[in-house]
Amino acid sequence: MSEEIQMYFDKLLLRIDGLKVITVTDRDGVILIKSESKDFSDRVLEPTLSTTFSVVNDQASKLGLKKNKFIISVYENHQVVHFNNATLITTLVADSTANTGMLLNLGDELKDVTDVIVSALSGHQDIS
Amino acid sequence: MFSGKNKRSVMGRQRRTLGFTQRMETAVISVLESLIKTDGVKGVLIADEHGLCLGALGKANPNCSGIIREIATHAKSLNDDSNSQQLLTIKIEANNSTILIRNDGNKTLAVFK
Repeated sequence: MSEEIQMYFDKLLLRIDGLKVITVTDRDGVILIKSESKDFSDRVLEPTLSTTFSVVNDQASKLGLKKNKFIISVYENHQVVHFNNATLITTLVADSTANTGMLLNLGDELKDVTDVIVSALSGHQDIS
Repeated sequence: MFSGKNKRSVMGRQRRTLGFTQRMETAVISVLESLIKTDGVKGVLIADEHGLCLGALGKANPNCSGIIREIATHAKSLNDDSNSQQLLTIKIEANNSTILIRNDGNKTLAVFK
């Protein structure tokens, strides 16, 4: 099952121009799934990326505009899109010129996959 | 919780903020409304250069803005002369509907018929 998910994520990298990395982590920054293109420098993926988002997401949810769904950050060379999905955080790293709308669309699509993981995790927690 | 004067000022600030938001969107929405009044047009959408939706009316789904921008970009790459200033129009025909996509460089317009 995990190999199938890994293959699915690897294929997604080829689908969108400029998409470099997809990671699914928990709120503590533990990586559950990671898929990156070969030409990507590992230095960009700081371990604090998802934990920082977790904090920012909590703050953004306090703005009185209901729950925060995603945050887009655009830098000189890259753009990072974080999606908040219950206990999991999906992170997409792409070139700064990549189509942000496509990344948001992909995030919606990935929600179906991460929902399965969320329900599996919550089921596991119930047992333990 | 608020005194009368403070309450009014908070409400005034909210009204001003809302007014600004409405004005900001009005220009785009009025263009879309004029387009959707045309015979046979069922939906219109404008996307920016990042594929983000600037406005959508009718049956056009705002989540499609990225895809529409991507179609326009790929269609442009089909043209041999990449420096050509000619504007491309893409027509997607389905059984029951037609989508026209036009890109002027920064903004992409999609018309659903």
